[in-house]
Amino acid sequence: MADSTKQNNKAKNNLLATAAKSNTAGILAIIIIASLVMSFTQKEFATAVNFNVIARSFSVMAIVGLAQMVILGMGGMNLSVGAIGGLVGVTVGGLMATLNWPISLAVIAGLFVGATCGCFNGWFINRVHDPLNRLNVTSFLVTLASASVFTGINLGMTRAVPIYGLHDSFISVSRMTIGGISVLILIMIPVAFTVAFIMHKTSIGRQMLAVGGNSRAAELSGVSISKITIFSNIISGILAAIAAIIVISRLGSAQPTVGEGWLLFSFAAPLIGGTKLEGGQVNVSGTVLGAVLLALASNSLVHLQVSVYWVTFIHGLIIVAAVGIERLRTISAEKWGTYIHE
Amino acid sequence: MQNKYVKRIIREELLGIIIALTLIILVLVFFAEGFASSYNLNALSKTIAIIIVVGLSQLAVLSIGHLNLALGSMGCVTGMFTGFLLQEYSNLPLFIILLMGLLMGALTGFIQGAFIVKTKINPFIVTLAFVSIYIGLVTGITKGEVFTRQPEIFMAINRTNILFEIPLLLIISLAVAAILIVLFFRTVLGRQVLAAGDNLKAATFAGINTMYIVIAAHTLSGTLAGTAGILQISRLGAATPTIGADWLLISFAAPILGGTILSGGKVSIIGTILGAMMMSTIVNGLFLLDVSHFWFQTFLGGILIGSYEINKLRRRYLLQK
Repeated sequence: MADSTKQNNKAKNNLLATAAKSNTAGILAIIIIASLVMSFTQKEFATAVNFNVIARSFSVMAIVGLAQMVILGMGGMNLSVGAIGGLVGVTVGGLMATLNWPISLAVIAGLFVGATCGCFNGWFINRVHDPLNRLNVTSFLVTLASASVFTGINLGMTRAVPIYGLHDSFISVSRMTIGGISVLILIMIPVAFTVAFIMHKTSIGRQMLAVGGNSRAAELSGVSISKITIFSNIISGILAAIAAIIVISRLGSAQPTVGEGWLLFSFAAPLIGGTKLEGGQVNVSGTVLGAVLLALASNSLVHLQVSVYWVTFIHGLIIVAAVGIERLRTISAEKWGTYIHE
Repeated sequence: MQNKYVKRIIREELLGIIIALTLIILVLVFFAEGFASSYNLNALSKTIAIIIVVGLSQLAVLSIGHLNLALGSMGCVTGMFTGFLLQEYSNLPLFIILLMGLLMGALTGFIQGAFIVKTKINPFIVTLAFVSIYIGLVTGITKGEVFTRQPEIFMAINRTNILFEIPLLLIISLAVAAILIVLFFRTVLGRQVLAAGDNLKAATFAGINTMYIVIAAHTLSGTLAGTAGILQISRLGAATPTIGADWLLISFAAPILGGTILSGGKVSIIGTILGAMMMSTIVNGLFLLDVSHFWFQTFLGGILIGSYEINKLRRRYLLQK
């Protein structure tokens, strides 16, 4: 009797392991299937040009997704990713075009602005945080306000006028390809690896996930929540800055509207990829694949000639579908889970 | 016992915001050219009217500890729908059109609430998705069209003033607030909502059907968002897809300035009204003081952050008691 239950548990254990891993595999499967379908049914889909269009798009979305992911991991949320992006974009553009700064200095300045915005967020979250509230309510409120502040500074400086006249070599980066593959992927991949390294292989990354999982327990174990809050928000700000710099290179000008549509995708990519909304668990490869899926979906809509007026509606459906599937997975994982703990 | 204590806290908080508001108004009367003119006050009152209802829409879900990110889109759906009816079906009695508009608002809220309850997906994500779903529906169906023809009787609502030049819009808005006060504090449903917001488990054990409460709260939020949308199209004289686009921040700012806490269970409708007044007055003042309108966003964010600071001080003060 005992033997058969042990065997049963082992079998279910393996199934659970596969189910947990299947998230990334699942997304990959959807991507492959969708790509195949699109390649066969649409003329212009399976071309190198289109591949790079998708690649450029998902490189940016992946980094934006990662910017949100690191905050989700520590149990918060960052509504200001788009606003930081916009502010960094016009700062870098303005420095290059108006003050004629060299590219490298302007980029560093942009990253610095992103880090400062993140630091501001983190500092304020610490100030305002009420232990009775969950961390993500506080971060929601603070970043809601700070998003307004950053956008306000952005618009106040630029008066909603885009900045043209960026250095040519800067603009051409986004069009370059190495071996036929867009350079932007080659920028995104090391960024993703760095984030993964920080989250999974460093002590501070583990502390971030600990705070996200159970902030009270983490605090009692000696983790400084205030330091982690500031650190993770700085990382988030820097990632948003990187994404913004790539975007203005692609656009060829610094538009104050950069970042306006980022909010939905910044949540969609991590959630599709298996990052938990409540915190404590992140999935970097999942976030990247989630961004790929979103870019693929957007690109497909264009090929399918879906009216541009319906695109927003479909984006909303996509995020519902993604989270819904995630919920089903969690529910079934929970069911299996009950068999593991005898 | 508990009730009296809560009432006293609210009254003390309201005192603080009343003082702040009075000071701001005094400053503006003396330093901002044209603030005290009847034209400006009239326009300001109309803005306040809309912001009050937007704030109340968010308040409806804050009461159970949820957030409604989609209220701008809900207002847009209702506003556009009502605008469409006003233009294409102007032969219908106005009262029927308005009723249909409100029902549409209720429907948008109901769908969202039912969705949350049925799928048990995190409410934040659901409302985030519905932002896109509803606004996408509007743009998808209307393809960017705006509705500019309104029947004379509807347009008259915007022009009507009662008593000392108080706009009808403001009276309507205050009436809505009064209805909500009755709803929350004098009806069984209202008490149940507040109980559920305060402590969901306790409410469930007390026999309250929390599923219905969630759906009810979101439906109410949708209805109020719809009301704000209709007030907005009255003010604008047209129904455009941009309605509600900038409502998110102010929908939180008004209740928070007014002392509503975000974990649920405690609402202050008077506070929301005062919060709406404070925000609109400050923005109006900035406009009159010739501050570039691009900085308004920064100010709104700053006001919101300021209110968190004040809340913190309040909490410290309360704990000391």
